[in-house]
Amino acid sequence: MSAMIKAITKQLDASLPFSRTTMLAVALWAAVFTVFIVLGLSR
Amino acid sequence: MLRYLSAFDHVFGPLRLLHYITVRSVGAAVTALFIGFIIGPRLIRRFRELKFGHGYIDERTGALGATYFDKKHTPTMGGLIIFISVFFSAVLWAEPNVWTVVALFVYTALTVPGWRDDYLKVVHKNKDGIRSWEKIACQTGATVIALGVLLWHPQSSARIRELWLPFLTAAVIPHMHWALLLVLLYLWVVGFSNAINLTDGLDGLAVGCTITVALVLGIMAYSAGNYKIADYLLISYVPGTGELAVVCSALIGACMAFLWYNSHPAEVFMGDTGSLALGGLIGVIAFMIHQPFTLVIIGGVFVMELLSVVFQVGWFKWTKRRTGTGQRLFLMAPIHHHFQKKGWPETKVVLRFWVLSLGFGLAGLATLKLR
Repeated sequence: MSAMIKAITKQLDASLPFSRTTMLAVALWAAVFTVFIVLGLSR
Repeated sequence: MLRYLSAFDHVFGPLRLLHYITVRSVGAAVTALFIGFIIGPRLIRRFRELKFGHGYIDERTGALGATYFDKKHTPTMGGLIIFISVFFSAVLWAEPNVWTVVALFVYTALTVPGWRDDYLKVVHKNKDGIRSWEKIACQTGATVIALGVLLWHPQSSARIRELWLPFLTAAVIPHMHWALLLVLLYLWVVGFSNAINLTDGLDGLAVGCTITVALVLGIMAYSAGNYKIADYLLISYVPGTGELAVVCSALIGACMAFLWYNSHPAEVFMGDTGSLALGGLIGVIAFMIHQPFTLVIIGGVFVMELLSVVFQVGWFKWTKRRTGTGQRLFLMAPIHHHFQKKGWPETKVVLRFWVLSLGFGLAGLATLKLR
């Protein structure tokens, strides 16, 4: 199982245009913004 | 979002301070400043690597660091430093409501094409950057969605259709048609985007002027969101827009941190990532607090820069058509280059324009009382 996860991660690292840190930062930003929008627009 | 903690003041008394916009504004400015100082050097190193490749060392710098930097070797995309600082600070300290959501949405939506433009130019060495239609599509999309949300949400839909002018004590148009609203918002967002883009030509010029504009807009947003102050000053009272003062404070803190690295000789430029987005942000904030035309006064330096280009190009084309030889109004446009050509050192131009920006800001503030 862990070998499969490692293989998938390696393939993703090779195919994605940005580093893992960048992707994590963007994901964090997107999550925070989504929560902010939901709270802000809830009537 | 820290505002929600004020509901627990029965558990810990000082939490009630988080209820106040003024306290959260100071918190937002300081937080944005710290975030900018922490991420600034790291991101500048990353931008330098993107521009010149990994492991690039500028041989000219030595012990005196930035003294020997020149514009060709200065990395761009620094607007990302401002964006991250503003975004996380505003999300932390501002209360989520329709106004803050729309402001941050427009800011984000305009950062994307700016960043993509810089990325294509720097990394892919594509000197044209993104295509014009892509930029226009992003700006139009951001404006349409922002206006759609403002017209749909009950907190904003009632008041957003009013058109207020400086010096007048009532709305000149109490209920604008949505098409007119769209045109106005689009002009303001795109107009100030381009104005700040043109102003961003000397180290620290655009960001320094943005600080004064954000400061005055923050005061105006606080006034617009406070019933007693709005009633006393006879300006439009728009409930909830006081939170935009927190966003403006975050912007001030972020710009201060960025100015630390962008002051002459600059270690980083904001690029289109910063200039397009900042213009959109101040444009939409002014629109939401019913001070769009006051922004023309407050952001006088930006307007001056934009008009100098418009007049320069217009006069050149007109005189060429009439006389066969194009003439110039200024030695060079935008106008900051005109003064450089006259012999003013870069730092003198920048500082004098900051003084002008402060003057315009004070004039804008005066419109709150001269009604």
